Amino acid sequence: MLKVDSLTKNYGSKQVVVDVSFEISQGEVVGLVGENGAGKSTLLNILATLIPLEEGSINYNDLNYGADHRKLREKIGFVPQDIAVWEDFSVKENMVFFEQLSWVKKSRKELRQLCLDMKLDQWKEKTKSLSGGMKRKLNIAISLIHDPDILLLDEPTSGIDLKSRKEIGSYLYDLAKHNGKTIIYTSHDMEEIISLCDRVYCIGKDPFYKELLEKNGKSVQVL
Amino acid sequence: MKAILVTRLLHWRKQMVSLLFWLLLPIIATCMFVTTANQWQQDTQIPIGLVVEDNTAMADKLSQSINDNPLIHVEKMNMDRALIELEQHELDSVFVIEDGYQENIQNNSRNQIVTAYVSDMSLAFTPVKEAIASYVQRDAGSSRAAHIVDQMVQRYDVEKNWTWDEVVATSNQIREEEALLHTSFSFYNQVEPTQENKGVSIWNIWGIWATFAMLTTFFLFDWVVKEQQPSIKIRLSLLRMPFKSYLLRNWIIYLFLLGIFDLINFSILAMYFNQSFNFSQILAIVSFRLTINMVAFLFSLRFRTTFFYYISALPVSIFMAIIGGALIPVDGLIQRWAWVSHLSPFQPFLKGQVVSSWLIVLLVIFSIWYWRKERAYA
Ligand SMILES: Nc1ncnc2c1ncn2[C@@H]1O[C@H](COP(=O)(O)OP(=O)(O)O)[C@@H](O)[C@H]1O
Ligand SMILES: [Mg+2]
Repeated sequence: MLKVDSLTKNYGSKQVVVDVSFEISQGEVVGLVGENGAGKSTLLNILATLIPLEEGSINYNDLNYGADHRKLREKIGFVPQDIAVWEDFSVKENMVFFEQLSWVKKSRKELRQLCLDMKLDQWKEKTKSLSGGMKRKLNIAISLIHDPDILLLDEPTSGIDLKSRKEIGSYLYDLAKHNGKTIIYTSHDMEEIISLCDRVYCIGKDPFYKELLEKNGKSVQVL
Repeated sequence: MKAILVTRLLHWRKQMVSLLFWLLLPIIATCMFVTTANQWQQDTQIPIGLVVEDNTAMADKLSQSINDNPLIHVEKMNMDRALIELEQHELDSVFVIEDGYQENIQNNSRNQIVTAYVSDMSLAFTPVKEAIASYVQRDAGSSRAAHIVDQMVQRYDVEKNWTWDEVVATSNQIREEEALLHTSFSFYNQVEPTQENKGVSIWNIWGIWATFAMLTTFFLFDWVVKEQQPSIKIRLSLLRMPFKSYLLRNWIIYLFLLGIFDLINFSILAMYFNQSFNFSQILAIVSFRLTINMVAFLFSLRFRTTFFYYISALPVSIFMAIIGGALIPVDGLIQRWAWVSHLSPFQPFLKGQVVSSWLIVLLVIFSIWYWRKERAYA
């Protein structure tokens, strides 16, 4: 159970996240929507322990965000909005590189299987020459090496072809429903949000997304 | 640490060619530079005539010392021949070790020890004179004979139809204000010229090596810039070890890699140029390596793109090399402004110091960097 209480984040005088509270339980897939600059990435970065907590409190089970951020990192998989891989490495080298620095030891075979599960089969190919969809898959696979409980994904499917998007979507859905992972992710693709998410949080004052999603039968809570 | 080594090797495998290039650059460039420079220098030695009228051991030794000076090309001849060649500008100047040289030195007499003849075209007279004066001084064993040569200078006037007497009659005393200019002929780490290494000693091999070592270090430390790209940094921040610890461990790996190459370079250079070497020199090299690795690291932390890093690193390392006296002598500068000697980590290295102000200050900054809490949890 991830519990967020009265979370507020300012950049100088600019309030980005204002008094936000919510709870997410294990195995849920939660979408985060809002216009550009609404604060989605900021919220995910705070949940990923990348931005220190200033006001409010966050707890994951019995771990507290102020005190146990190193233990939390072991439980969290974060997929950055910008693709964060070594471009001159092959898929294999990228996986091995981050496995070495990760909390758990994985064999080459396990790493390869992780990629195959996502339909990323160009094991020896240089990342530079992969398609956008394959790069996104690798970006996600690296974040899954240490088997995190919570998966935070910042626009994991932006700018890629429909087939890759579907593959990533169904893979994530399986992770939540069969492996009990908690998933929070942002997207601008409302169709994807509608088909994948159990619940949706909308960040920002613009009612556009809320109305659109509710018309399609989704429950939307404004943060 | 093993994990860090594995990840670093993954990077190195991708950069094999450039890694080897930078690692080998200091030794190859130093050997090439010094060899070429010596060649050129031998072609541009200053020709002087030497007339030895004193037939003693001390006069022999002096003439040998002059002969061994790497900047001077000595032709021994008699007085008449010497003056003719001087007139024809085949010689830059003529020095005469007068009869009674040894006796006068031993008697502490200032008369007629060494006489110099110059023409209007004697471009290099002053430094040659200074060098010879320093040898005479050494013979005299103390500063007793400090101005021996200065007092003996004869102005050889080529415009006139000369006679021996006229030359003597029109002789001028040239008094130089400055002290014996040892440094005109040697940089730091001066090695006494000997028969085998004649022509090498005036180049500060270590200064040139250190300059290339600094360049290499800066260019190899682009890894810090690459690993600080915002997207990659996010990933590296969420790993088993904190980001700073990750950087520190990589820094240590680079310290070992470059340190090993330093010691190899050091042995090769010492053998190639017949330099003597001892344990304290090795310590000075280790200290210098530690210093420049910290300089490069702390410098590279400030950059987000490799392009700006490279174009900033180049002038910085050249500035440090020059101000540190690695490429040109800066004694004059330091005599006037003592603080100049603190501007570059090259100074203490070239003087053979192991503990320098640079090393201490950098260690402090480096520790502050490591222990200071970052705003993010990184
Ligand atoms: N480091 C920062 N310093 C100052 N302002 C920031 C910083 N990061 C983000 N912002 C601002 O906070 C707001 C929210 O940004 P972000 O969380 O990236 O929005 P989103 O991901 O929803 O597009 C934006 O207006 C952005 O300009
Ligand atoms: Mg964003």
